[in-house]
Amino acid sequence: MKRRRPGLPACAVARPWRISRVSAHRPGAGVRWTALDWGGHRRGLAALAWFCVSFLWGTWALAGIKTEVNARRVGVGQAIVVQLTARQEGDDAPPSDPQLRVGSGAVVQGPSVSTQSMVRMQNFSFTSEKNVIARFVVIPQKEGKLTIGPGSFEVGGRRVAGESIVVEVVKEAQSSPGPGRRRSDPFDVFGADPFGNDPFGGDPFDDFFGRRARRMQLPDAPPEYQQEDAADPVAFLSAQLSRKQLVVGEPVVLSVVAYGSQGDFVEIAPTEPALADFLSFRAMDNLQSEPAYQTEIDGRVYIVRKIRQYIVVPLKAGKLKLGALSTVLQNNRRSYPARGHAQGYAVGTQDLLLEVKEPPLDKRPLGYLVGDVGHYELAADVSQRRVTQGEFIEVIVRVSGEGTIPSRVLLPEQNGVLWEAPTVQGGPEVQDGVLQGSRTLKYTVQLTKAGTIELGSVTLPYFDHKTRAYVVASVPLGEVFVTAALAPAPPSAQPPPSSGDAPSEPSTLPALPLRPRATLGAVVGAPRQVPPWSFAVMFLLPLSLYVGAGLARGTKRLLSARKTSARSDVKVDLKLAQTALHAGDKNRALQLAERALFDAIEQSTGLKGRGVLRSEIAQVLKEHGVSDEVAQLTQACLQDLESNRYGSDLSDPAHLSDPARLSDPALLFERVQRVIKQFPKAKKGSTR
Amino acid sequence: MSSSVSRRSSCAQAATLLLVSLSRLASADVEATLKSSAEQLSAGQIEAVITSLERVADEGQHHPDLSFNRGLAYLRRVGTPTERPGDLGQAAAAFAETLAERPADAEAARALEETQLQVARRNARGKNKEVAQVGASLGLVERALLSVPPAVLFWVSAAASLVMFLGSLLRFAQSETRRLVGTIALSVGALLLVPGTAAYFAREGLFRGAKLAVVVSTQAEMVDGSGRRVAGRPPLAESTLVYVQGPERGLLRLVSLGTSQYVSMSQVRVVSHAPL
Repeated sequence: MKRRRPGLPACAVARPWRISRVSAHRPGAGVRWTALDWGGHRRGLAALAWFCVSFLWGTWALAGIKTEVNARRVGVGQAIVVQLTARQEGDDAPPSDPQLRVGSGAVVQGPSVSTQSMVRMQNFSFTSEKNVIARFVVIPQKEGKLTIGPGSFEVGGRRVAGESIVVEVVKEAQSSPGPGRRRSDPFDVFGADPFGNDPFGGDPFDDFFGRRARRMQLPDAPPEYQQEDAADPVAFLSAQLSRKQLVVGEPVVLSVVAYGSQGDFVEIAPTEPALADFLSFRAMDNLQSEPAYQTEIDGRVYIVRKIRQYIVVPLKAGKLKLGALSTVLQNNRRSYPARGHAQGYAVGTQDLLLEVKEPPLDKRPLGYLVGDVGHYELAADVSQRRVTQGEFIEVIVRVSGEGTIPSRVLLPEQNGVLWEAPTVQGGPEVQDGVLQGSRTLKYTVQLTKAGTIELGSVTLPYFDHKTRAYVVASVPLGEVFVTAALAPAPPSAQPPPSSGDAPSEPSTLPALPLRPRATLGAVVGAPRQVPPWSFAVMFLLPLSLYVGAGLARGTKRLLSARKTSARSDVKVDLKLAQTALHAGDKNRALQLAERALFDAIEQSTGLKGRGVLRSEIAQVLKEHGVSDEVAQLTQACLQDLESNRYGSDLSDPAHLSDPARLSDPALLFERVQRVIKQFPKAKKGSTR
Repeated sequence: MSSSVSRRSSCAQAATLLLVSLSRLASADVEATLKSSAEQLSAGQIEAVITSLERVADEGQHHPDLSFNRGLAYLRRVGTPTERPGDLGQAAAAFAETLAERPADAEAARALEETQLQVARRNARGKNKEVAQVGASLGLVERALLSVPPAVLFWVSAAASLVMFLGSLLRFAQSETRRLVGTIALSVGALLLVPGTAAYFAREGLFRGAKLAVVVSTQAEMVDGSGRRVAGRPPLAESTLVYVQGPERGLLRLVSLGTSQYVSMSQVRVVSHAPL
């Protein structure tokens, strides 16, 4: 955050700040300062700087309070608005206590103080400004030269004054400033700057950021807004009617225009006119949607803005009062004095009287309803052209045009055609400042007579407010072919009982071809109920496939696992046998070796060798595709194992393949291992 | 032994004969009642027809044609000096009864529609303008569920189940294409089966024990469980078809997914106890 003396403007401190900044961020520059020996003149330089700062501040103090008046030449009693503008810098305390010195012979009112904020772009950086504006009204009481000012504010603990302005006061009231200064309120943000000496100017982007708007002019008010006399020097309302004499039902435009001489305005607490004897339609949305103009009345420039527009339709003849609209005008600068209301300037319309007559009796058509005024067209649509006697059709009549749009038309009543009350939709609305629209009338029509019925025409007599003459709009409905009902109509439509909740209208029951039934028809049996469990079956059916497949896969996997374990038994047995051999358990070792050999035979050939005689096993193995050598070795091993198991006291030692090795179980075990290795391995997945 | 068997057999035959003859007798009674009511209606003896057909209905004899004639009798009494409040509702109830037992009866459907139209016209012209539209007692979801018969849901679900089964079979095939077809079939089947089943059970849950009834008073106020009028709900118009459950403390609960609302038993006539 930059630190400045209170009230010191940015422009005034710009250079010292830049110097300090250079010193801080460019050490070399500081060295250069020293090298140039500025130090010898430092005291003088400081004094010079202080003088410059004081001078600039003083200049700003003079020019910083901007004084403006709305006219340099006024009449006696003519108000001069004086505006003092002081600028608030950054977070400094805002300028306060505005005072204005005025020479003798004038009354000073005010001040009213407001603030104004704006964002400016300077040297491609945005800065915000805040101005404090004090507004005084000076009313000169005598002719001569009137010195206004200087105005002053208290800024940062000291009083800062602006300039003085001399205004010439003459006897006659003066008109508003000349061309280029059309507005009476020069302080309006959209008004012209009458002085053109902005102490903060010089920014090439001013035209794009705000200043351009100040120089804009409001357009001149259209002729209908021009007034010869101002009802009030500050603000007033004017109610205007597009016609003063009209007939019952004729739309007329009521506009309320506000005039304000203290700048643009908004409404506070409006009260709408009563419009007791009228139908009223609002023809504008809000105040701000209407353009503002300016006009000069009695030497003052007024901002003019339409604040209301109604289209009103008189409901009866006679002198009718419209009622008054009252409101309070004010703006955000609060430039409208409080009068009649705490918040602003209360204004109201005069109470307008309207003379309303009935349309002329001369040439008035039969069936004309007073109030049907406008310009209308009719269209109609019939829902069906062929119906059975007693049935209903729908007739849709559409009334469109300018005016209040009648909700009643003349119907072609006749025997055998009963028109029921219509349902009505739509209505008028304000479009392009004109009351217009369409209305749809839907009729239900019962046709109680058989034959071809010419429905006739729907008509609407109305008074055309443009041609000031009666017109009868008409639309033909065409023919409807009604066929006779097959069954007799229900009993005659005698008046129903009046007691209780019984309907009070006669029966309009259509003559349906309903006949009593005399023979029994077929009876349809009740539909068979669906058992809820069937849905469970539906879900289980596809699931059962997966369950079945899973079971099959599991079984297969189990079998496969069992086979694998059977194969691995050979190795396990051999390992166990070797362990037993090392442990000295000869019998256990040879027993396991024999089992491993049998398992190996089974895995390789599928032959269960335990059921074969030892003496025949070689032959059987050969038959199962085992080589002769392996078969013989297998048989020998098995015989030796048997012999060893039963000891050396065998009855027939000739059976022993190798008697020398019988006593060494380790050698026998090695032989078994060798034989097992020689067996051909069974193919993977094969089941012998 | 053989004599006892023959005795049992003869007893069974006698019982069957009795039932058949009773049934024929009842049928003959219904036919005679129907014929006489038609003759009386043609002769304009409306009161007699209403009295006799109401008595028959109270005795438990139901036939769609009897109900139709009863409805016609009520309808013909409308607009006559003998008309009573609720005649249009009674007529609508009788026609609804006919339709409940014979859904394809176009004439009864037309008569019911015309009766409800007649009520709507009266309400539109008379003082009962605030009464709800005829036939608007069910919400959108309830109507949607009711509009699909359980049999349709069953067959759709069964077909979906079959498609899923075949799809599952194809998924075990060796061919990649067949497996793809199987996957698609499985997905389609699941997409049909799950919502179909859900709709079936939602319908069952919502309309379990529900009965079709018709408002037979000039209007039926909707009340809460304690019998107080429900604020903000217009009363039901005469001849409105409602689906009710109960009774509970003299009130019938209106079938609805949302709030619990009831109507008085005296203001509606239950026309069908058959499952919806």
